[in-house]
Amino acid sequence: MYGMVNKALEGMVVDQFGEEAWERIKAEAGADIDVFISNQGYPDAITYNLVAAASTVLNRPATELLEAFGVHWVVKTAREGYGELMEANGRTLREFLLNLPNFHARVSLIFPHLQPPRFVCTDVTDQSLRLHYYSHRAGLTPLVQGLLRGLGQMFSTPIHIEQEAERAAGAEHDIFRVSWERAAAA
Amino acid sequence: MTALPPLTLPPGSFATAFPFHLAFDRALVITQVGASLRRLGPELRTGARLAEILTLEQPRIPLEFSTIAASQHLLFVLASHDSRFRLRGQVAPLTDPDQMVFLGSPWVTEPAAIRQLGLTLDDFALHDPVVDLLQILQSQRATLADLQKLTDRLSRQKEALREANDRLARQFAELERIQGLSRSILETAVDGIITINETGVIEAVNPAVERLFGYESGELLGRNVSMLMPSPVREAHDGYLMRYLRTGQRRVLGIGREVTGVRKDGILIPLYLAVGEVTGGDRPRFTGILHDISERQNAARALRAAKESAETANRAKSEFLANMSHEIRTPLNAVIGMTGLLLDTELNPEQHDCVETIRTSGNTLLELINDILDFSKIESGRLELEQTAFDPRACLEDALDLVTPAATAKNLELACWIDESVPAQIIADPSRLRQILVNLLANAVKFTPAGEVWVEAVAKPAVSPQIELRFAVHDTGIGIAADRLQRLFQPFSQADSSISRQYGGTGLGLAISRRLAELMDGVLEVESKPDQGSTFAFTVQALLAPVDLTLPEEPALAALAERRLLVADSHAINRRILERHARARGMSVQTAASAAEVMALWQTGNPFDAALLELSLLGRDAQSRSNWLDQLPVERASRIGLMAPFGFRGHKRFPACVQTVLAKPLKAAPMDRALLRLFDLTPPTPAAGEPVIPAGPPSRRREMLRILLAEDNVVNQRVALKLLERLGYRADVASNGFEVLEALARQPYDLILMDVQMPELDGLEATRRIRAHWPGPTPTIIAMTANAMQGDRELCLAAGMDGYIAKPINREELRAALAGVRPTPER
Repeated sequence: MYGMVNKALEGMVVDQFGEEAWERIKAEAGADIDVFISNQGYPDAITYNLVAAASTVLNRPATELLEAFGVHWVVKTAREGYGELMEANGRTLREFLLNLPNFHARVSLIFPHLQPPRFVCTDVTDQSLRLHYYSHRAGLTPLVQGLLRGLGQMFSTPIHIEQEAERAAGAEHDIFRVSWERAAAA
Repeated sequence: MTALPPLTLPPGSFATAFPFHLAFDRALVITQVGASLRRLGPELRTGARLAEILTLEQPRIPLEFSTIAASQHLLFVLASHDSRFRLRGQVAPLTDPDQMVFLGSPWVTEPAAIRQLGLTLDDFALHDPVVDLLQILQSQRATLADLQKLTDRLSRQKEALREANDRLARQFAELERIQGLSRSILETAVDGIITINETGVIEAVNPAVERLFGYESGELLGRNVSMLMPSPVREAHDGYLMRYLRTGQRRVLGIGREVTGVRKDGILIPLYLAVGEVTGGDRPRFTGILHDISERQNAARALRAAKESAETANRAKSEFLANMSHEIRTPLNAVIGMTGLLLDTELNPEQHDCVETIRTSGNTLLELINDILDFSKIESGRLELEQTAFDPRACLEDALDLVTPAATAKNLELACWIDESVPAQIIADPSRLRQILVNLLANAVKFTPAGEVWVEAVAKPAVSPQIELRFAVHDTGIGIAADRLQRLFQPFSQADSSISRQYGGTGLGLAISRRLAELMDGVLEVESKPDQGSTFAFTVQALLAPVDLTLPEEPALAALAERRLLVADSHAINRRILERHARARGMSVQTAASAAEVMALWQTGNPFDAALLELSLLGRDAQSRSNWLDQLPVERASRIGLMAPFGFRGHKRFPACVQTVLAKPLKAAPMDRALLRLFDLTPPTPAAGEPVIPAGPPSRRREMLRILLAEDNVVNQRVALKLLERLGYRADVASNGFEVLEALARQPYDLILMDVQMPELDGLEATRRIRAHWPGPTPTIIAMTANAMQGDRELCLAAGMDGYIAKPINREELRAALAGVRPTPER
């Protein structure tokens, strides 16, 4: 996982629970790393450990933390510059979701060691679509849900997410039925 | 170059592939604009002139169709006049030779710029890498920011590290200093200092340890400390350590103790060991400090030996002293006894004087020997105090009696003031108390050429039921210089060696007195000024007698209340004593210090019921005194008492107005009697027709009675002798039972006054031996004992005694006892 993910996680914890909590989480996770470099790849285990440690230290379920992290990633990380291009990825939620496959194609060019997830949109209508999520990583489904909610906030669009298939429950991949109200702002 | 076959794009494909294309004709009029470019710059419309909207920044050529056409190999940068956007791209000819097309896209360096230009990623052709380059740029910037953050953090850490290093360096320097200090202490310490770990292995020793145990430098390190210990401690030591580590029970830690060490050569050495646990460090450690106490033990042994030999010598000395005293006393008693016999024979006056001198000197010598014996007894701690109930006032007055003749002979005024706080009965040692008082009073009289000697007594409560009695003997004598005061109490020492020549004495008296006071839990102190006088004061602790044995007050005394008395005496102390005494009886008192004062008071009409006047105030001889008394107005002169010095005998020549004569020194009971007589009140039964002035020459009959006084205490001897003398008797003295037997072997006695408790041979055993050796009624033996217990009388009678009087001796009791004794018929 690239450093930016761990950094974003750090940002979220520090924002919501303070610097001291993050230091305790790092200590709990055994992650003796002062600064995560955005463009550097880190073992996935570090991220997983950090999430598990955060769950222990903050006494919250990991799924809840992951979903919150997804929201934070979109709302905060985008605002702070990493995601300027994400905002350029579409004028509306619908445009953005439709551009997701292209977005990840570009990202994997730029970050050659990244193993990005793959998204496919089907059954697209004006107010809904079916989002297929493929990933070689397990357990990040709540993160995707958080990301979708964050996008709803970013585009000021009330969003409804329904998980239709669940990899953790044995499905081949996760499928979300995403629907929204007509965009409040273009 | 191989010509490629011509490709023709349908209009839709061209627009998708080049969304920012711009076509223009020879007149530089826009002929076609791509959709995305139209969104970027709505003014770029078909028909508009290129130069009116855009500026050619690169290449630097005139903006003309021909020059543009000639620059197809150059990079074109077009900027909007308002600088809102720039386009980057190239020009290409079209199949229509009168038209050319610009192919490119907006030049952006910030991802945010795309949105600011009103574009989205969809406005860019998919093949256009601008967006991706922007992403790369962005990620590089993020990395740069991360690195900057990392650099900042590193700088902070470096700063913190530098501070920590500084601190460490300082601490290290301090540590080195302390280490140096410790090392120098360890190296130079005389005591051995040894550090072991928890398994007993020696980790460090200082040179003193190696010296102490006789090992080479470094030889002890790494070895078990038990090698320095003798069996069985050696085998047990590891166990001690383990037990401590397991239980924390301390047997040696923190407690110094004496131990034995074993040297390399096997010699045992006594050591004083103190062990401490070393705090901190990676494992438990213990440090022991070893002090060689061989010398101390040797010194202690030597000291013990010296003490033992000194004690032996001292015992020998005491025994020698006791023996010598006995040996000296035996012939001395014979001398004194024989003088008694001699005095009973017909002697001419000169011979009589000689014999009296022999007898007096013999007695003085005997007292001296007894003093020395007393002192040696105190010094050796063998003196035991009695605990007897007695009247301390009587004790004090007795002591006063003993020095009265000497004081009178020197014309000194002697007085005694007993505070009301002094109880009538206490429990203490009356003999020893009297001994101190007599000693101090005798000294005062001895060293006072003129003036007064008086003694005060007060009591104050101590820890109940104890009280503290304080006696102070004041004199107006020669005094003692400040620098000589301390020598006073050293035995055999007087303030000045010339004094001993002038005044005599052993110099033992004060030393004995001070020790006696200390034995009675008191102190003896002196204040003195040369030529002004001295005060010797001492305290003793006594018990209050559980039952107050004070006699009920004479009922007649109540009649003294409200009477008005004039007291005239030239000595303030006497005025105070009489005034206080009379006031205590309820009388009102006025005082005068001279005859003139008396006369003035008398004549001012100040009414008195009676007057007590000092004899010497009235005149030097009988006639002048008589004349003076005659001057007094008759009606007021009817009740007059005189205070006469001890031994005054001219009282028969006083005028009739003199009701009574009170002998000095002033004492409570005679004062009461004098006051009663002044007012014709019945005085208490006169102590057997008490001569107001002490007895005249002893009668022949009384002297005929041969008396032996057996009493070990010198002062008691003197008191008893004085009492006997006043009653008209003379007596020889023995200090213990053996001396009694010796005296009896020498000469017969009619009466033995036998103290029960005497050293060496007590009164009971002496009586038994007398009865065994001289069976018969004589001599009469009367016990004198302080043991006023019920069973004592029976004990005495059982031993063969004939009677019993209690100590301190009461004159009347003694008189009664003596009255029953008849001289041995065969004499």
